[in-house]
Amino acid sequence: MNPTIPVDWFQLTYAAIFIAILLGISLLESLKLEKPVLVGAFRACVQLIFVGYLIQYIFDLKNWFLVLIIILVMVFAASQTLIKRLKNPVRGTYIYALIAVSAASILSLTVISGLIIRQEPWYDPRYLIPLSGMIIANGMNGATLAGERYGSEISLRLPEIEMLLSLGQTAREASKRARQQALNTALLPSINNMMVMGIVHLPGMMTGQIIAGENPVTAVKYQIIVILAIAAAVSVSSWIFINLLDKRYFNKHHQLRYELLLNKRAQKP
Amino acid sequence: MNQEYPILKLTNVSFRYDNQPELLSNISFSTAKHQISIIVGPSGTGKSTLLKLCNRLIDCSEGDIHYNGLSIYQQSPLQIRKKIGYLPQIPYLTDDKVRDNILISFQQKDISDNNSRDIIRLLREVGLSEEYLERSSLELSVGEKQRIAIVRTLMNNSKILLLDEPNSALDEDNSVILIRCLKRLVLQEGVSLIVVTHNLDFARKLGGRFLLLKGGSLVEVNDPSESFMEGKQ
Repeated sequence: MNPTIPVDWFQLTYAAIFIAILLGISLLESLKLEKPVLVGAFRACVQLIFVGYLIQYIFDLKNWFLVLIIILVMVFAASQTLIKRLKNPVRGTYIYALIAVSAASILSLTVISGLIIRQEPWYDPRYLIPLSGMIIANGMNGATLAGERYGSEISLRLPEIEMLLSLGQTAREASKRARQQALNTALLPSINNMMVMGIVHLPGMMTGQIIAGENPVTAVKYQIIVILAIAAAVSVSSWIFINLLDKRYFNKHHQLRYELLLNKRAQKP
Repeated sequence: MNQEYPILKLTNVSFRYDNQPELLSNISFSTAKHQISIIVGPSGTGKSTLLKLCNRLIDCSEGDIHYNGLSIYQQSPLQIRKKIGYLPQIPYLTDDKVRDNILISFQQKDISDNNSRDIIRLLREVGLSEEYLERSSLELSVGEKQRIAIVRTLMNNSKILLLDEPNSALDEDNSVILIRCLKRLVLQEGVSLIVVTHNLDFARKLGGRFLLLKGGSLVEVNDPSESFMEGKQ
Protein backbone atom coordinates (compact mmCIF):
# COMPACT_ATOMS: atom_id res chain seq x y z
CA MET A 1 0.00 0.00 0.00
CA ASN A 2 1.36 3.46 -0.92
CA PRO A 3 1.83 5.81 1.98
CA THR A 4 -0.56 8.79 2.13
CA ILE A 5 0.65 11.78 0.07
CA PRO A 6 1.50 14.47 2.57
CA VAL A 7 -0.24 17.85 2.11
CA ASP A 8 1.83 20.79 3.29
CA TRP A 9 0.30 23.99 4.72
CA PHE A 10 0.99 25.99 1.55
CA GLN A 11 -0.85 23.45 -0.64
CA LEU A 12 -3.73 23.48 1.81
CA THR A 13 -4.30 27.21 1.22
CA TYR A 14 -5.55 26.33 -2.30
CA ALA A 15 -8.65 24.95 -0.53
CA ALA A 16 -9.62 28.62 -0.22
CA ILE A 17 -10.78 28.27 -3.86
CA PHE A 18 -13.83 26.42 -2.51
CA ILE A 19 -14.67 29.35 -0.25
CA ALA A 20 -14.25 31.75 -3.17
CA ILE A 21 -16.78 29.70 -5.17
CA LEU A 22 -19.22 29.79 -2.28
CA LEU A 23 -18.78 33.55 -1.86
CA GLY A 24 -19.23 34.05 -5.61
CA ILE A 25 -22.59 32.28 -5.58
CA SER A 26 -23.68 34.20 -2.50
CA LEU A 27 -22.81 37.53 -4.16
CA LEU A 28 -24.33 36.56 -7.50
CA GLU A 29 -27.66 35.63 -5.94
CA SER A 30 -27.58 38.32 -3.19
CA LEU A 31 -27.85 35.67 -0.51
CA LYS A 32 -26.01 37.89 2.00
CA LEU A 33 -24.20 34.82 3.26
CA GLU A 34 -20.67 36.24 2.84
CA LYS A 35 -20.13 36.93 6.53
CA PRO A 36 -21.41 33.57 7.82
CA VAL A 37 -19.44 31.77 5.08
CA LEU A 38 -16.20 33.53 6.03
CA VAL A 39 -16.77 33.12 9.75
CA GLY A 40 -17.81 29.50 9.26
CA ALA A 41 -14.80 28.65 7.12
CA PHE A 42 -12.44 30.39 9.52
CA ARG A 43 -13.98 28.66 12.53
CA ALA A 44 -13.88 25.26 10.81
CA CYS A 45 -10.16 25.67 10.01
CA VAL A 46 -9.17 26.94 13.46
CA GLN A 47 -11.30 24.38 15.30
CA LEU A 48 -10.04 21.47 13.20
CA ILE A 49 -6.39 22.49 13.47
CA PHE A 50 -6.80 22.86 17.22
CA VAL A 51 -8.56 19.49 17.49
CA GLY A 52 -5.89 17.89 15.28
CA TYR A 53 -3.12 18.97 17.64
CA LEU A 54 -5.23 18.14 20.68
CA ILE A 55 -5.96 14.64 19.41
CA GLN A 56 -2.29 14.16 18.59
CA TYR A 57 -1.46 15.14 22.17
CA ILE A 58 -4.13 12.89 23.65
CA PHE A 59 -3.08 9.97 21.44
CA ASP A 60 0.42 10.27 22.80
CA LEU A 61 -0.76 10.62 26.39
CA LYS A 62 -3.29 7.72 26.40
CA ASN A 63 -4.90 8.81 29.65
CA TRP A 64 -8.40 7.34 30.32
CA PHE A 65 -9.44 10.29 32.45
CA LEU A 66 -8.62 12.79 29.72
CA VAL A 67 -10.50 10.71 27.13
CA LEU A 68 -13.60 10.67 29.35
CA ILE A 69 -13.37 14.42 29.92
CA ILE A 70 -13.28 15.00 26.17
CA ILE A 71 -16.30 12.77 25.60
CA LEU A 72 -18.17 14.60 28.38
CA VAL A 73 -17.34 17.97 26.82
CA MET A 74 -18.71 16.64 23.51
CA VAL A 75 -21.94 15.49 25.19
CA PHE A 76 -22.44 18.84 26.96
CA ALA A 77 -21.69 20.81 23.80
CA ALA A 78 -24.08 18.63 21.79
CA SER A 79 -26.88 19.14 24.33
CA GLN A 80 -26.27 22.89 24.29
CA THR A 81 -26.45 22.93 20.49
CA LEU A 82 -29.62 20.88 20.57
CA ILE A 83 -31.32 23.43 22.82
CA LYS A 84 -30.20 26.32 20.66
CA ARG A 85 -31.65 24.69 17.56
CA LEU A 86 -35.07 24.15 19.14
CA LYS A 87 -37.24 27.19 18.46
CA ASN A 88 -39.02 27.41 21.81
CA PRO A 89 -37.52 24.93 24.26
CA VAL A 90 -39.59 24.35 27.37
CA ARG A 91 -37.92 24.55 30.76
CA GLY A 92 -35.91 21.43 31.61
CA THR A 93 -35.14 20.59 27.99
CA TYR A 94 -31.38 20.91 28.51
CA ILE A 95 -31.41 18.14 31.11
CA TYR A 96 -33.56 16.00 28.81
CA ALA A 97 -31.12 16.56 25.94
CA LEU A 98 -28.21 15.64 28.21
CA ILE A 99 -29.91 12.43 29.36
CA ALA A 100 -30.93 11.44 25.81
CA VAL A 101 -27.56 12.09 24.17
CA SER A 102 -25.61 10.48 27.05
CA ALA A 103 -27.75 7.34 27.10
CA ALA A 104 -27.52 6.89 23.33
CA SER A 105 -23.73 7.41 23.39
CA ILE A 106 -23.08 5.09 26.33
CA LEU A 107 -25.15 2.32 24.72
CA SER A 108 -23.58 2.57 21.26
CA LEU A 109 -20.00 3.01 22.52
CA THR A 110 -20.32 0.10 24.95
CA VAL A 111 -21.44 -2.25 22.19
CA ILE A 112 -18.77 -1.03 19.77
CA SER A 113 -15.89 -1.09 22.27
CA GLY A 114 -16.93 -4.07 24.36
CA LEU A 115 -18.26 -6.45 21.73
CA ILE A 116 -17.14 -5.47 18.25
CA ILE A 117 -13.76 -3.71 18.08
CA ARG A 118 -12.58 -4.69 21.59
CA GLN A 119 -9.68 -2.23 21.49
CA GLU A 120 -7.02 -2.49 24.18
CA PRO A 121 -7.03 -0.49 26.36
CA TRP A 122 -10.76 0.24 26.23
CA TYR A 123 -10.14 3.98 26.30
CA ASP A 124 -7.71 3.95 23.35
CA PRO A 125 -8.35 7.52 22.11
CA ARG A 126 -7.61 6.56 18.48
CA TYR A 127 -10.91 4.66 18.47
CA LEU A 128 -12.98 6.11 21.24
CA ILE A 129 -12.73 9.82 20.37
CA PRO A 130 -13.65 9.74 16.66
CA LEU A 131 -16.38 7.16 17.28
CA SER A 132 -17.83 9.23 20.15
CA GLY A 133 -17.78 12.34 17.99
CA MET A 134 -19.79 10.71 15.22
CA ILE A 135 -22.27 9.03 17.55
CA ILE A 136 -22.85 12.06 19.77
CA ALA A 137 -23.28 14.42 16.80
CA ASN A 138 -25.77 12.12 15.11
CA GLY A 139 -27.62 11.39 18.34
CA MET A 140 -27.95 15.13 18.85
CA ASN A 141 -29.23 15.67 15.31
CA GLY A 142 -31.84 12.96 15.74
CA ALA A 143 -33.08 14.33 19.06
CA THR A 144 -33.23 17.87 17.61
CA LEU A 145 -35.33 16.77 14.65
CA ALA A 146 -37.61 14.75 16.92
CA GLY A 147 -37.97 17.59 19.46
CA GLU A 148 -38.80 20.20 16.79
CA ARG A 149 -41.37 17.97 15.20
CA TYR A 150 -42.93 16.90 18.51
CA GLY A 151 -43.53 20.53 19.55
CA SER A 152 -45.18 21.44 16.26
CA GLU A 153 -47.23 18.21 16.18
CA ILE A 154 -48.65 18.93 19.64
CA SER A 155 -49.76 22.39 18.48
CA LEU A 156 -51.13 21.11 15.17
CA ARG A 157 -52.89 18.14 16.71
CA LEU A 158 -54.49 20.09 19.54
CA PRO A 159 -58.09 19.24 18.46
CA GLU A 160 -57.21 15.55 18.17
CA ILE A 161 -55.40 15.49 21.52
CA GLU A 162 -58.25 17.32 23.28
CA MET A 163 -60.76 14.91 21.72
CA LEU A 164 -58.85 11.83 22.93
CA LEU A 165 -58.30 13.27 26.41
CA SER A 166 -61.93 14.36 26.70
CA LEU A 167 -63.00 10.78 25.92
CA GLY A 168 -60.96 9.49 28.86
CA GLN A 169 -57.80 8.43 27.04
CA THR A 170 -54.47 8.75 28.86
CA ALA A 171 -51.99 11.48 27.93
CA ARG A 172 -49.75 8.83 26.35
CA GLU A 173 -52.58 7.58 24.18
CA ALA A 174 -53.58 11.12 23.21
CA SER A 175 -50.07 12.12 22.14
CA LYS A 176 -49.24 8.81 20.47
CA ARG A 177 -49.51 10.11 16.91
CA ALA A 178 -47.44 13.21 17.73
CA ARG A 179 -44.71 10.98 19.14
CA GLN A 180 -44.86 8.64 16.15
CA GLN A 181 -44.50 11.53 13.70
CA ALA A 182 -41.61 13.00 15.67
CA LEU A 183 -39.75 9.68 15.78
CA ASN A 184 -40.38 9.04 12.09
CA THR A 185 -38.89 12.43 11.26
CA ALA A 186 -35.81 11.68 13.36
CA LEU A 187 -35.26 8.16 12.04
CA LEU A 188 -35.94 8.61 8.33
CA PRO A 189 -32.61 10.32 7.46
CA SER A 190 -30.64 7.48 9.11
CA ILE A 191 -32.73 4.83 7.37
CA ASN A 192 -32.44 6.57 3.99
CA ASN A 193 -28.72 6.94 4.57
CA MET A 194 -28.39 3.18 5.06
CA MET A 195 -30.37 2.56 1.86
CA VAL A 196 -27.99 4.54 -0.36
CA MET A 197 -24.80 3.75 1.54
CA GLY A 198 -21.99 2.74 -0.85
CA ILE A 199 -24.07 3.55 -3.94
CA VAL A 200 -24.88 7.23 -3.84
CA HIS A 201 -22.99 8.04 -0.71
CA LEU A 202 -19.41 7.14 0.18
CA PRO A 203 -19.22 8.21 3.78
CA GLY A 204 -16.54 10.57 4.99
CA MET A 205 -15.05 8.22 7.53
CA MET A 206 -14.55 5.41 5.00
CA THR A 207 -13.20 7.76 2.34
CA GLY A 208 -10.80 9.22 4.90
CA GLN A 209 -9.55 5.79 5.93
CA ILE A 210 -9.02 4.71 2.32
CA ILE A 211 -7.11 7.91 1.47
CA ALA A 212 -5.08 7.43 4.64
CA GLY A 213 -3.94 4.08 3.21
CA GLU A 214 -6.25 1.65 4.94
CA ASN A 215 -7.43 -1.54 3.22
CA PRO A 216 -10.84 -0.70 1.66
CA VAL A 217 -12.43 -3.86 3.12
CA THR A 218 -11.32 -2.91 6.65
CA ALA A 219 -12.58 0.62 6.01
CA VAL A 220 -15.93 -0.83 4.93
CA LYS A 221 -16.16 -2.96 8.11
CA TYR A 222 -15.61 0.12 10.24
CA GLN A 223 -18.15 2.03 8.21
CA ILE A 224 -20.76 -0.70 8.77
CA ILE A 225 -20.13 -0.50 12.52
CA VAL A 226 -20.47 3.26 12.47
CA ILE A 227 -23.56 3.49 10.29
CA LEU A 228 -25.45 0.91 12.36
CA ALA A 229 -24.32 2.44 15.65
CA ILE A 230 -25.43 5.87 14.42
CA ALA A 231 -28.88 4.54 13.50
CA ALA A 232 -29.20 3.01 16.97
CA ALA A 233 -27.92 6.18 18.68
CA VAL A 234 -30.40 8.33 16.74
CA SER A 235 -33.30 6.07 17.68
CA VAL A 236 -32.33 5.89 21.36
CA SER A 237 -31.62 9.61 21.77
CA SER A 238 -34.75 10.75 19.94
CA TRP A 239 -36.94 8.17 21.70
CA ILE A 240 -35.70 9.17 25.16
CA PHE A 241 -35.90 12.88 24.33
CA ILE A 242 -39.47 12.63 23.01
CA ASN A 243 -40.65 10.60 25.98
CA LEU A 244 -39.15 13.09 28.44
CA LEU A 245 -40.72 15.99 26.53
CA ASP A 246 -44.03 14.14 26.50
CA LYS A 247 -43.98 14.00 30.30
CA ARG A 248 -43.31 17.72 30.35
CA TYR A 249 -46.21 18.62 28.06
CA PHE A 250 -48.78 16.75 30.16
CA ASN A 251 -49.32 16.69 33.91
CA LYS A 252 -50.16 13.74 36.15
CA HIS A 253 -53.89 14.38 35.68
CA HIS A 254 -53.52 13.68 31.96
CA GLN A 255 -54.03 17.35 31.17
CA LEU A 256 -52.20 19.16 28.39
CA ARG A 257 -50.11 21.97 29.82
CA TYR A 258 -51.67 24.73 27.76
CA GLU A 259 -49.31 27.33 29.20
CA LEU A 260 -46.46 25.75 27.22
CA LEU A 261 -48.45 26.23 24.02
CA LEU A 262 -49.56 29.74 25.06
CA ASN A 263 -45.94 30.71 25.70
CA LYS A 264 -44.96 29.36 22.31
CA ARG A 265 -47.64 31.37 20.59
CA ALA A 266 -46.82 34.49 22.56
CA GLN A 267 -43.19 34.30 21.49
CA LYS A 268 -44.04 34.13 17.82
CA PRO A 269 -43.56 37.43 16.00
CA MET B 1 -87.86 19.16 34.13
CA ASN B 2 -86.56 17.15 36.99
CA GLN B 3 -85.03 19.46 39.57
CA GLU B 4 -83.97 16.68 41.97
CA TYR B 5 -80.50 15.86 43.33
CA PRO B 6 -77.79 17.69 41.34
CA ILE B 7 -75.71 15.42 39.14
CA LEU B 8 -73.11 18.18 38.65
CA LYS B 9 -72.48 21.01 41.08
CA LEU B 10 -69.93 23.81 40.78
CA THR B 11 -69.13 25.69 43.99
CA ASN B 12 -67.25 29.02 43.92
CA VAL B 13 -65.17 27.98 40.94
CA SER B 14 -62.49 30.42 39.79
CA PHE B 15 -59.98 29.98 37.02
CA ARG B 16 -56.98 31.73 35.57
CA TYR B 17 -54.23 30.62 33.20
CA ASP B 18 -50.68 30.99 34.61
CA ASN B 19 -49.83 34.66 35.20
CA GLN B 20 -53.01 35.79 33.44
CA PRO B 21 -55.92 37.76 34.92
CA GLU B 22 -58.77 35.75 36.41
CA LEU B 23 -61.07 34.51 33.65
CA LEU B 24 -63.81 32.97 35.80
CA SER B 25 -64.55 34.04 39.34
CA ASN B 26 -66.78 32.45 41.96
CA ILE B 27 -68.95 30.47 39.56
CA SER B 28 -71.63 28.39 41.27
CA PHE B 29 -74.38 26.40 39.62
CA SER B 30 -75.75 22.89 39.50
CA THR B 31 -77.55 20.72 37.04
CA ALA B 32 -79.83 17.72 37.52
CA LYS B 33 -80.62 14.64 35.48
CA HIS B 34 -82.66 15.38 32.32
CA GLN B 35 -81.88 19.10 32.67
CA ILE B 36 -80.79 21.41 29.87
CA SER B 37 -78.64 24.40 30.90
CA ILE B 38 -77.74 26.93 28.24
CA ILE B 39 -74.84 29.26 28.88
CA VAL B 40 -74.87 32.49 26.90
CA GLY B 41 -72.62 35.50 27.02
CA PRO B 42 -70.22 37.66 25.03
CA SER B 43 -67.12 36.20 23.35
CA GLY B 44 -64.02 35.73 25.45
CA THR B 45 -65.85 35.47 28.75
CA GLY B 46 -64.67 31.92 29.41
CA LYS B 47 -67.68 29.87 28.31
CA SER B 48 -65.53 27.19 26.65
CA THR B 49 -63.14 27.26 29.60
CA LEU B 50 -66.05 26.57 31.93
CA LEU B 51 -66.93 23.43 29.94
CA LYS B 52 -63.31 22.26 29.96
CA LEU B 53 -63.25 22.66 33.74
CA CYS B 54 -66.27 20.35 34.07
CA ASN B 55 -64.56 17.72 31.89
CA ARG B 56 -61.26 18.14 33.79
CA LEU B 57 -59.34 19.02 30.64
CA ILE B 58 -58.17 21.80 32.95
CA ASP B 59 -58.48 22.25 36.73
CA CYS B 60 -59.95 25.25 38.52
CA SER B 61 -57.69 27.57 40.53
CA GLU B 62 -60.20 27.73 43.39
CA GLY B 63 -63.51 26.11 44.32
CA ASP B 64 -64.79 22.60 43.76
CA ILE B 65 -66.87 20.62 41.30
CA HIS B 66 -68.97 17.66 42.44
CA TYR B 67 -70.26 14.87 40.26
CA ASN B 68 -72.97 12.74 41.92
CA GLY B 69 -72.04 14.19 45.31
CA LEU B 70 -68.31 13.45 45.05
CA SER B 71 -65.61 15.97 44.23
CA ILE B 72 -64.27 15.33 40.71
CA TYR B 73 -60.81 16.09 42.11
CA GLN B 74 -61.04 13.00 44.30
CA GLN B 75 -61.80 10.79 41.33
CA SER B 76 -59.71 9.63 38.41
CA PRO B 77 -59.75 12.31 35.70
CA LEU B 78 -59.99 9.54 33.09
CA GLN B 79 -63.21 8.22 34.66
CA ILE B 80 -64.67 11.71 35.11
CA ARG B 81 -64.08 12.51 31.44
CA LYS B 82 -66.04 9.43 30.45
CA LYS B 83 -68.97 10.37 32.67
CA ILE B 84 -68.98 14.05 31.67
CA GLY B 85 -68.53 14.14 27.90
CA TYR B 86 -67.16 17.24 26.19
CA LEU B 87 -67.81 18.15 22.56
CA PRO B 88 -65.81 21.04 21.12
CA GLN B 89 -67.15 23.55 18.62
CA ILE B 90 -65.89 21.62 15.60
CA PRO B 91 -65.93 17.91 16.48
CA TYR B 92 -62.69 16.17 15.59
CA LEU B 93 -62.96 12.92 13.67
CA THR B 94 -59.96 11.01 12.31
CA ASP B 95 -59.90 10.16 8.58
CA ASP B 96 -60.93 6.57 9.35
CA LYS B 97 -64.33 4.90 9.08
CA VAL B 98 -67.20 6.08 11.29
CA ARG B 99 -67.07 2.76 13.21
CA ASP B 100 -63.38 3.30 14.08
CA ASN B 101 -64.12 6.86 15.16
CA ILE B 102 -66.94 5.79 17.44
CA LEU B 103 -64.82 3.05 19.00
CA ILE B 104 -61.67 5.18 19.22
CA SER B 105 -61.48 4.97 23.00
CA PHE B 106 -62.10 1.22 23.08
CA GLN B 107 -59.40 -1.41 22.92
CA GLN B 108 -60.02 -4.16 20.34
CA LYS B 109 -60.64 -6.65 23.16
CA ASP B 110 -63.37 -4.46 24.67
CA ILE B 111 -65.53 -4.47 21.55
CA SER B 112 -68.43 -6.80 22.22
CA ASP B 113 -71.87 -7.54 20.78
CA ASN B 114 -73.29 -5.25 23.45
CA ASN B 115 -71.18 -2.40 22.11
CA SER B 116 -72.41 -3.04 18.59
CA ARG B 117 -76.03 -2.98 19.77
CA ASP B 118 -75.37 0.26 21.69
CA ILE B 119 -73.81 1.91 18.65
CA ILE B 120 -76.77 1.05 16.44
CA ARG B 121 -79.26 2.22 19.09
CA LEU B 122 -77.41 5.51 19.63
CA LEU B 123 -77.02 6.10 15.90
CA ARG B 124 -80.80 5.81 15.59
CA GLU B 125 -81.26 8.17 18.54
CA VAL B 126 -79.29 10.83 16.68
CA GLY B 127 -81.14 10.14 13.44
CA LEU B 128 -78.47 8.19 11.56
CA SER B 129 -78.71 4.69 10.13
CA GLU B 130 -76.45 1.69 10.73
CA GLU B 131 -75.02 2.08 7.22
CA TYR B 132 -73.03 5.07 8.40
CA LEU B 133 -70.67 2.75 10.30
CA GLU B 134 -68.81 1.72 7.16
CA ARG B 135 -68.60 5.24 5.71
CA SER B 136 -65.41 7.25 5.76
CA SER B 137 -65.60 10.29 8.02
CA LEU B 138 -64.34 12.35 5.08
CA GLU B 139 -67.71 11.86 3.35
CA LEU B 140 -69.71 13.35 6.25
CA SER B 141 -71.18 16.83 6.57
CA VAL B 142 -70.38 18.90 9.67
CA GLY B 143 -73.84 18.11 11.06
CA GLU B 144 -73.30 14.38 10.62
CA LYS B 145 -69.84 14.62 12.17
CA GLN B 146 -71.39 16.38 15.14
CA ARG B 147 -73.90 13.59 15.68
CA ILE B 148 -71.22 10.89 15.24
CA ALA B 149 -69.15 12.72 17.88
CA ILE B 150 -72.18 12.67 20.20
CA VAL B 151 -72.57 8.90 19.69
CA ARG B 152 -68.83 8.45 20.35
CA THR B 153 -69.13 10.37 23.63
CA LEU B 154 -72.28 8.51 24.70
CA MET B 155 -70.52 5.17 24.08
CA ASN B 156 -68.60 6.02 27.26
CA ASN B 157 -71.95 5.99 29.10
CA SER B 158 -71.65 9.73 29.68
CA LYS B 159 -74.43 11.11 31.85
CA ILE B 160 -73.69 14.74 31.04
CA LEU B 161 -72.90 16.26 27.65
CA LEU B 162 -71.00 19.54 27.51
CA LEU B 163 -71.57 21.09 24.09
CA ASP B 164 -69.50 24.05 22.93
CA GLU B 165 -71.32 26.09 20.24
CA PRO B 166 -72.80 22.91 18.73
CA ASN B 167 -74.67 24.71 15.95
CA SER B 168 -71.95 27.17 14.93
CA ALA B 169 -71.17 25.36 11.68
CA LEU B 170 -74.67 24.05 10.96
CA ASP B 171 -77.29 25.29 8.52
CA GLU B 172 -80.93 25.72 9.57
CA ASP B 173 -81.99 22.16 8.64
CA ASN B 174 -79.10 20.54 10.47
CA SER B 175 -79.70 22.75 13.52
CA VAL B 176 -83.29 21.49 13.68
CA ILE B 177 -82.09 17.87 13.40
CA LEU B 178 -79.53 18.45 16.15
CA ILE B 179 -82.11 20.02 18.49
CA ARG B 180 -84.47 17.11 17.93
CA CYS B 181 -81.69 14.61 18.62
CA LEU B 182 -80.50 16.41 21.77
CA LYS B 183 -84.04 16.57 23.17
CA ARG B 184 -84.51 12.86 22.53
CA LEU B 185 -81.22 12.08 24.34
CA VAL B 186 -82.40 14.07 27.36
CA LEU B 187 -85.73 12.29 27.48
CA GLN B 188 -84.77 8.75 26.50
CA GLU B 189 -81.19 8.43 27.77
CA GLY B 190 -81.57 10.63 30.85
CA VAL B 191 -78.66 12.78 29.73
CA SER B 192 -78.09 16.29 31.13
CA LEU B 193 -76.94 18.96 28.72
CA ILE B 194 -74.80 22.01 29.34
CA VAL B 195 -74.71 23.96 26.10
CA VAL B 196 -72.72 27.06 25.26
CA THR B 197 -74.15 29.06 22.38
CA HIS B 198 -74.27 32.47 20.78
CA ASN B 199 -77.35 31.68 18.77
CA LEU B 200 -80.49 32.80 20.62
CA ASP B 201 -82.83 31.15 18.18
CA PHE B 202 -81.05 27.82 18.70
CA ALA B 203 -81.09 28.39 22.47
CA ARG B 204 -84.84 29.09 22.54
CA LYS B 205 -85.70 26.12 20.36
CA LEU B 206 -83.59 23.81 22.50
CA GLY B 207 -85.30 25.11 25.67
CA GLY B 208 -84.09 24.82 29.24
CA ARG B 209 -82.78 27.37 31.67
CA PHE B 210 -80.50 30.19 30.66
CA LEU B 211 -77.31 31.19 32.42
CA LEU B 212 -75.48 34.37 31.53
CA LEU B 213 -71.70 34.42 31.81
CA LYS B 214 -70.44 37.96 31.95
CA GLY B 215 -67.45 39.60 33.61
CA GLY B 216 -66.34 36.22 34.91
CA SER B 217 -69.60 35.59 36.82
CA LEU B 218 -72.58 33.38 36.06
CA VAL B 219 -76.21 34.36 36.74
CA GLU B 220 -79.48 32.66 35.87
CA VAL B 221 -81.70 34.75 33.59
CA ASN B 222 -85.22 34.28 32.31
CA ASP B 223 -84.93 35.70 28.84
CA PRO B 224 -81.79 35.03 26.79
CA SER B 225 -82.39 38.02 24.51
CA GLU B 226 -82.11 40.44 27.45
CA SER B 227 -78.93 38.82 28.61
CA PHE B 228 -77.54 38.88 25.11
CA MET B 229 -78.28 42.56 24.70
CA GLU B 230 -76.60 43.29 27.99
CA GLY B 231 -73.68 41.19 26.90
CA LYS B 232 -73.30 43.21 23.75
CA GLN B 233 -73.13 46.51 25.55
